[in-house]
Amino acid sequence: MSDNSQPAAHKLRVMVIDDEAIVCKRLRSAFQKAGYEVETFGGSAPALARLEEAEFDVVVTDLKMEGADGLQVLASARERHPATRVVVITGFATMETAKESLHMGAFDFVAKPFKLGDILDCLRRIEGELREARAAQTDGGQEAP
Amino acid sequence: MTPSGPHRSLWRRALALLGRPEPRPDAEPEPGRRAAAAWRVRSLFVNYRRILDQNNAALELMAEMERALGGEYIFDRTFLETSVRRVSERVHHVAYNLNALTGNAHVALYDRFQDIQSRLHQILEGTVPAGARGPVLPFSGIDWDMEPQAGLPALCLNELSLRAGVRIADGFVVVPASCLALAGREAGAEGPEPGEVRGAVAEAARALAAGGAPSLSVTLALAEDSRRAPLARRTGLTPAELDAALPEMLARALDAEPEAATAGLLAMVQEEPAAALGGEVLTRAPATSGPEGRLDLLLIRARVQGAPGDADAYALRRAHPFDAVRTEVAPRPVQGRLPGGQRPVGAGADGLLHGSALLAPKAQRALAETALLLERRLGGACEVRWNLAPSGEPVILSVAPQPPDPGTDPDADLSEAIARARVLCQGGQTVQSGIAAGTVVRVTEALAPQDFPAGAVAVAATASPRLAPLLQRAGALLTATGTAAGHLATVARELRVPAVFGMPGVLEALPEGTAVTVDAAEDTVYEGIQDELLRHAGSGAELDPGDPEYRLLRRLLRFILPLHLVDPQTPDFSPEGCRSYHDILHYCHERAVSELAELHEKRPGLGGLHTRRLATGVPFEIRVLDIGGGLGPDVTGVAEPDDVACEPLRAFLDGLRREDAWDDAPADLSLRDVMTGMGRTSQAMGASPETLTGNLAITGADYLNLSLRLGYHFSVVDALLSGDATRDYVYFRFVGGLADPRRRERRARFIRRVLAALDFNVSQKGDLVAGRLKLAGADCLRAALTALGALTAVTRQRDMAMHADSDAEALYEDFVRRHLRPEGAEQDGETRGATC
Repeated sequence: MSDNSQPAAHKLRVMVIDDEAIVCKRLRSAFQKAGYEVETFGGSAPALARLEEAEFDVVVTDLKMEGADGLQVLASARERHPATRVVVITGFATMETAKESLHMGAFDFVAKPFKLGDILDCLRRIEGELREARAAQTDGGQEAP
Repeated sequence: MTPSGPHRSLWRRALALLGRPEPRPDAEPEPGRRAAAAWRVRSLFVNYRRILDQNNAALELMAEMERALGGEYIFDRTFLETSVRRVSERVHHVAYNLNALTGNAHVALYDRFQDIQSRLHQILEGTVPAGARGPVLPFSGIDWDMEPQAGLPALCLNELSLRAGVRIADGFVVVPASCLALAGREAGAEGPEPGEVRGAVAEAARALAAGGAPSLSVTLALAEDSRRAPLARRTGLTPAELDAALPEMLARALDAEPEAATAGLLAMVQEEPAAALGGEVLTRAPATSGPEGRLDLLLIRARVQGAPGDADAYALRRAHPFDAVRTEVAPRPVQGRLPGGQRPVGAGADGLLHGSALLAPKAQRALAETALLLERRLGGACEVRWNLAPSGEPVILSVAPQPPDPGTDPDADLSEAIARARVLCQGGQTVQSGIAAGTVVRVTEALAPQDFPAGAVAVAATASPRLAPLLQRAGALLTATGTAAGHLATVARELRVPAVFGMPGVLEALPEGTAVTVDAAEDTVYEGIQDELLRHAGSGAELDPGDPEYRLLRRLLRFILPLHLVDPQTPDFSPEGCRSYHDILHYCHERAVSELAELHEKRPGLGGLHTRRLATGVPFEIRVLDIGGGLGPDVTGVAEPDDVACEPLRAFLDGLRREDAWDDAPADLSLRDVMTGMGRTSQAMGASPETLTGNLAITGADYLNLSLRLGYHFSVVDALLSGDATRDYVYFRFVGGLADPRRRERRARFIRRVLAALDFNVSQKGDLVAGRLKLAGADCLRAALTALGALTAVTRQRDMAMHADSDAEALYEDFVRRHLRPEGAEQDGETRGATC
């Protein structure tokens, strides 16, 4: 549910990567309703190619995929665009993979199955952080995180 | 235990006559055997607790899978595989622990478990057995188990007919393996022979034609892709023509699309009833420009059958009450007649001018309601072919996915539309995702389903299961209280009615008659009909039955969730009767509880174990075998009521120790009464008198198994108060007593009435009265245990005094007044306990 009181502002640009079409479909719908710009990819290869061309505010990526896995996507996205937040989603959630993801700079780690509301809360937190960063940049000329 | 006072001499004489020794009250086996026996008892209860824990864990996993069907969660195939594995492990453990508890008395459960587990694996692998129920399936016999063989459209039509009472064009499905055989392709080792299929098709077609239909239609579709438009269709066929046409159609379809062979190519053959008027409904009207283009509309077309000319077109809003937005009536000659004999320019029976429109508004709305029901079941926009029976009743001929409209954009930006919309209510728990709009109708259990306006948004105070019949007609359902578990939630998911339970302030925020749009996935209700949001819902962006994961989950749940074994008294309540994992869990739970309730008869000598005496302060004692946490840690010697930590026992003692529950007057007892009573007691319990040990409580912190022998009565109380309302229960059984059959029967009736007043589920067999209370709150269960304590004391010898029915009635009234009055009521300056 988007905040009706916010003035027109930067739309969050979100990339979703998951080899399960149902996940991409559901997240696309939910993120669009929330007012985000969404691009979905069924594999890491086309997603990485797209990251070469464009910057995204958020990348939501599955962990286990053919080719480059979610941790490689995380590393690549952060290398290209350090400001990009990466959220890792997985059906094989373990303490080790969670720690490794967060150690590599993931914003959050979400185990499947998850509620739509949970992932939306995550993106709203990112939205809030970016808004504050832009406001700080505008006010004091400080660098965005 | 031996009776006290004036009954003792009678007791000794009776035993002497029977040649049975008087039990020595404090006899104990040697220490080594005692310790081993105690260990065995403890292990029994460990197994029992494991059954409860695993049962509960399995039920939670099953509930999680079922909630996923409602769209609340985002899940993938890994979730399905993992869930099946986890729930299978739990169910297997439950069966194993039951056999450990009962000495392998239920090994047949393993066979049933293996059968069901194999079926689940087949579903996950996509290897459903071919031709499982014959080469053709009549519509009337199709259920969800056969969905891989019959396809979703045939299933939806049949459900519409069965549940919503809508007339459909009857027919049958030629299953995928049969289609391959007819087309001369390889149908697999278990596939039917072509001759067998031709014979079955011919017989089914003749039966359809014999029903009066002038012709048949055949439609080819893919069982594994319900979103795909039909591959081919032919109409106007006789049974003989069908016999020639069908193999040719199938072969041509497979030549054009070889992959159809593995995608479940099937054929639906249906009657084509004669009718003067027919047409189709597109549940998503093609997008148009202009103001109407923003509205969420459906389109009905109607034409005179067999007559040249254009069709009428009626565009209606998809939201209840289906207001007409645009009507296009095709030109018709003024002298012509409409179906039914009416002239366009002429007065009807009501004296009003008819006009040349083919469908009255009422008929349009009826078609709209039915088509939207089908859309919900199918999971997406669909084209519904219909005609009108001579009675004017619509007959649904077919349903097929509607091709996507190139004018709609599933990626359309909704944020501005949502930002403009006013939120009326938000929060709660998504039961079934989906978007629907309509006017608010407040519902209660008293509302008859036929009085509920189809397509309206139902708003209720509680998620009562009695509201389930309304869901066939509801566009959406909102409740102020309730959770995603429970029967009403299950039905909402079954029917795919968008639903949110536990929505704060919903009753205040949504007055009757308010037009609203419900987005159940977001737990949000918007003011007014939000057409852009509704169009988004139809773009296939939500979880729907066309998604492979949805179908897979649904198929899996068919072998996991349904509970077929309900009544433990029926012969079908057996391992062989288990058809789902839920059946196995329920069977194991019931048998485990029964095993503990009969513990004292099946394991004589329990009273000789190392137990501690509990001084109750009333005319008998209880010995306590504590398996952990039942008594305080500092208890030494004789325990007092304040030393009892076992919550169920504390509640029971509260009732047992009430002064007014005891009657010290000597019983009106004869020797004949004693002799007949003893025999009947032991016979009813299936054990010999010397094995009916004294009063023994087996206790844990939250568990009690209490056997009481009070006078000539034998009762068992088995209870769990863990704090989990889904597992906690109280079980009570009473048998025995002296006196003639009429007095004993009055006593049994008295006990039965008291148990019923406490909301127990009660059964009676002769002198044996048993009852179980479950799914009640902790306070109710405690109050019930306290009442049972008082009941146990009151019935100590009261059957002796029940000389007439009026005595039993007076006793019941007195018991209710003393022990079952609501909290806060006072008598003689004292406040009694509560009942629920």
